[in-house]
Amino acid sequence: MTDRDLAQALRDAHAGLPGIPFARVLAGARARAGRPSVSTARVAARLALAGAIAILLAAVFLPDSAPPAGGTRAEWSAPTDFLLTRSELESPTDFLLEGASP
Amino acid sequence: MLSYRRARRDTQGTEDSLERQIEALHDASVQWALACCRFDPVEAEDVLQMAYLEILEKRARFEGRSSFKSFLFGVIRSVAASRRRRRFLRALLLQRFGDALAPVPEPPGADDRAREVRAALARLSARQREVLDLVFFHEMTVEDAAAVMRIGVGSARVHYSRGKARLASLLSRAGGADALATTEGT
Repeated sequence: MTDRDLAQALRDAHAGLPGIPFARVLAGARARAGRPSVSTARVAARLALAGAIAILLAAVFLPDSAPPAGGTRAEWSAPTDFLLTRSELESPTDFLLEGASP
Repeated sequence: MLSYRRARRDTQGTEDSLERQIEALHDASVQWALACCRFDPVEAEDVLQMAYLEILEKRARFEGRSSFKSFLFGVIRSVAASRRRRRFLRALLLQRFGDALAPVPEPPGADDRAREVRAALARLSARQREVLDLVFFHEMTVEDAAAVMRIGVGSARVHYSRGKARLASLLSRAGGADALATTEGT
């Protein structure tokens, strides 16, 4: 099949289709002008919905504030428990390794 | 005030000039829009309206990097592609693949040859179909077709040669089948 045959085939494919007048297309385009695009409105609606769902999930699943690793909430809310007492501070050898000389 | 009036007049002038350029290419644009919309006249009209609006409202700007025809055809192609994608996604979401993929009904009075070529074209990839339509029907060069399709010239050449071979094979097969049917009928 030559290029000429293919060109004729393409012309045949376009044959017999109804025409679309320019004035009609232009009038339709002008009627669309200024109308908010459907896709923009949809994207905005979907973003708003996704944001609302994310906020809802965060409120349900995230705790108000996380306790430090290894500690329970009760320990964390009473941080003085971790402070050394005066007697402990005055006998620092308690902390030395067994067998080591001071 | 004077400058405002002048600016408004200039804008009006540009719009008129754009409108005249679009009108001069309207018949070719209709055929190209039909080719981009699987020869569906209703869809092609919507695509044309949106493409003309993109240009007249300057959302798509002609910057003189190609011919105005290539630019206009590029806008039409991109609008048609985005509508096609949106329709497909909607079908995907609603699980109605049949609607998106259903063949477009032939217009009444379409002859057998037209139907046969359109069926063969429908079996090509979109890019092969587009490059063949631009080169053989709109008599563009492969370079111009590449500019319309926004792909590299090398890539356009590959689509062109593969599309040509496949279309020729499909049409020969269809022609052979027709000849066989005629022989069997007699």
